[in-house]
Amino acid sequence: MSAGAEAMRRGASANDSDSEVGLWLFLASEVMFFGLLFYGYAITRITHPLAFAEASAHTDVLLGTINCVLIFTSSLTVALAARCLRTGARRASLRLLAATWTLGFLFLAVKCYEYDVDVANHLVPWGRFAFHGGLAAGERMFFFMYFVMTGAHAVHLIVGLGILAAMVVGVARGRYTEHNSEAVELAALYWALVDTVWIFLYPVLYLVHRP
Amino acid sequence: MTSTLRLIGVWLAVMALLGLSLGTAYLPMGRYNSIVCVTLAFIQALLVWTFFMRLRWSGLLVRLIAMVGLLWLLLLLGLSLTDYLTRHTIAS
Amino acid sequence: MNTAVAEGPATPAEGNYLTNGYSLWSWLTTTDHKRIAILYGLTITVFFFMGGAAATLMRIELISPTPLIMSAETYNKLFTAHGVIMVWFFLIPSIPATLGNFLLPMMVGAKDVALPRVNLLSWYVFVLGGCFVVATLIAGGIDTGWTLYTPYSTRFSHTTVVCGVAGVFVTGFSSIMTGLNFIVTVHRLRAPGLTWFRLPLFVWAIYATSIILVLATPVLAMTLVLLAMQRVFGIGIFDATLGGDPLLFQHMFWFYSHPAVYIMVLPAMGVASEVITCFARKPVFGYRTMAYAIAAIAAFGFMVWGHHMFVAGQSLYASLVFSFLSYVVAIPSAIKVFNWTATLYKGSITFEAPMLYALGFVGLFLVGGLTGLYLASLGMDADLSRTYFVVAHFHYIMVGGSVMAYFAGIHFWWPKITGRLYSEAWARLAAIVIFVGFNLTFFPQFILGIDGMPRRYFEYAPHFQFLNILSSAGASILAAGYVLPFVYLTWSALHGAAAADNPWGAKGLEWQTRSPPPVENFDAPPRIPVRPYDYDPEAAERERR
Repeated sequence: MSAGAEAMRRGASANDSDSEVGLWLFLASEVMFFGLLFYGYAITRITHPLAFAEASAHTDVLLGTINCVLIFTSSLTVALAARCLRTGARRASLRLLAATWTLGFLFLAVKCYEYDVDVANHLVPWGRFAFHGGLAAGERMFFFMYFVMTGAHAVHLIVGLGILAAMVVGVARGRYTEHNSEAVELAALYWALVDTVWIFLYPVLYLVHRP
Repeated sequence: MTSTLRLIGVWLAVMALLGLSLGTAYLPMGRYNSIVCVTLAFIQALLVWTFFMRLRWSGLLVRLIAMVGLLWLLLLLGLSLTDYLTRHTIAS
Repeated sequence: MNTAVAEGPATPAEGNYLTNGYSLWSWLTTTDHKRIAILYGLTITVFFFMGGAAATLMRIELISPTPLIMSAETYNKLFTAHGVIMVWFFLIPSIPATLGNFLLPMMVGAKDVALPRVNLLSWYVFVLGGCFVVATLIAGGIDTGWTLYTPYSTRFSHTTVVCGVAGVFVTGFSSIMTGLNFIVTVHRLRAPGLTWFRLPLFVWAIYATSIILVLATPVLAMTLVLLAMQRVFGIGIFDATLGGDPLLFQHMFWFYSHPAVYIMVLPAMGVASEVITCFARKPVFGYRTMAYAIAAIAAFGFMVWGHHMFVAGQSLYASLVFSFLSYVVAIPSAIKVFNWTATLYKGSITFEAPMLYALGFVGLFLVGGLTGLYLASLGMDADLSRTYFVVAHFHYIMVGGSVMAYFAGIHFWWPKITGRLYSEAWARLAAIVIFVGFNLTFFPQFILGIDGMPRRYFEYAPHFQFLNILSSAGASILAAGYVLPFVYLTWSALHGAAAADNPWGAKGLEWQTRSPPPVENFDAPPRIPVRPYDYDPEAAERERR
């Protein structure tokens, strides 16, 4: 973006459109949605520290880290896609949006595989559960929160994939252009929120107790 | 620095923080493990929100909206801890 | 004072938002905030009578200390239905989604809200949530209380809890969308020259309410998801036998539900400021203080939720903190009551129906608020919690407060919304009947609570019967009082005399346009006042003499 345009954006709330303000309010509500789950996790962990540490060691840190790389990169590509569209580089924007979608889809694929492995290892706290003994109650709760939180995240990611697909179609058909790029910008903001949730999910689920 | 380079730079920083997070998780630091990795996550989120979500160039209203969710969650957690940290549990 | 009745034909010659399409389709696909407001208004009226029917049956049962017309299970289902419907399907949308939707854009000088299609979607989502509730009722209803406490709701109740909870979950999105829309509208669509401190207090109130809607409702939504998952899968974080904490549910639930009561009361306070200034012909006393008080109530309202859990197992230290903060939140509310009273002082007061309701609001809200202070005190709450004292307290606020203010607003803006006048004589009669019926219903409940009668009890000790009979008698009067407006307002909508643009001589941008307003609200850009509530009581007094 040119220095002049940048200066205009800086501190000028008149430049944020109605829809952008609306979307940020929606993101604030999403922060509260996920925040409640993190809160439930936090309180339960404070009251069951050993069980949570023990249970977390059974998550697949390799798959979790791979997912980090995928989603962090997708956040870059979607931000670049929005920028390209703003500056008129339509074809680059299209490719970047498609790349974002692909990375998101790969994330989901890894997640599905991970769930599969978790089920096979009896980490689902329903029915036959892998853990018994003194810490089992806390471990059940850890995995309950694990599945609820990653599940809610996955739902939001799937919705994000739908939105990105719509953006791809819109840019390809010339509906979204450098003069009408707002939808893509807003989609990028939403996707960044999905990324943010994962930024916090990763340490609290995978890195509690690794030594 | 052009905008594209800046975004890639932010991505590199986020990746570096990821590596740091993962690495320090294997160091036996006791309760500081959690503090370190959540702090690193906050820094990653701050980078994403400032540069990928363009808060650096947004007006005051949008910045306030961006902050308010976190503040409210801290309120929920903070006041709840007045309960959870002061309970006397009966050993079974 | 202006004459109220316009001369000429009953229907205006030029078009307005009501004449802009008569088909059902034009109503169901409208993006006009005024029509959406009416859609909400009609929907919540249906729910009001459903919730009222549940209350009527309960009060009939409570005439007798022993079973009279129903079983204990049915009684539990009735008080649950009453709470769920009245809180989420009547009170929370009442002033914001009905009056707020209609008036907010006009009060800021705009053509519509910022996101009109989101507005229409919010109504459809609301109706969808309502369908879940109706389905739950048809399936027999739920018996957990509107508060859904675990482990009863997750483990022991045999009713369709998930279906009921799904309805509330869905409706929450309607709230979030409405709040989001209003915030963007107030920030972005104000007419040039309309600075924050020139806005009517109703706008301030709706704005603060909208912040609560956006921040608190998602918390409830996820809490209900966790509850449903625990119920369906038998695992979760609320079950003590599985290492969880039932009080955690209550922390989550009340973090939303306490701010929810401010969603119900703040808009009512906004209406009171509009009506009292108009019928005292006087600017509000302490405008800025009133605005700051609204903001303070919204903010502190998020910090007091633990006062619902004083006797639930919360630690003493947490209870002390929450008790202290509960006293703090009472201060801005009290300031507002003082300022309304000071507004009346040396005003030129007349007692039209909206004013009767607004004065009733101030008095009854005062009683409700003061009794809240008793409950905020740990020592007293230990005895009064879970008794009828609490029931009386919150009904004084929600019914004596919010519902009366809602009626004040409906009557005050009726000419603007419909272009017709209602029967002032019937309206005043209804206001008085409602006031008398309300107090007869709920004042005895304070005494019952102090005497120790527990709430949500289907059977009670015989020595409580006399006061229960008084309360039920009051309820029958109150019910008659609520039916009256339904009748005369319907009559007015169909046959009422045409209203002038500003029958009350009120200030505020909405009164500068026609009654009913044109589709885009103003024929010409409205004149922005330098000061809000620019009334002159001495001139009004001179004019009256």
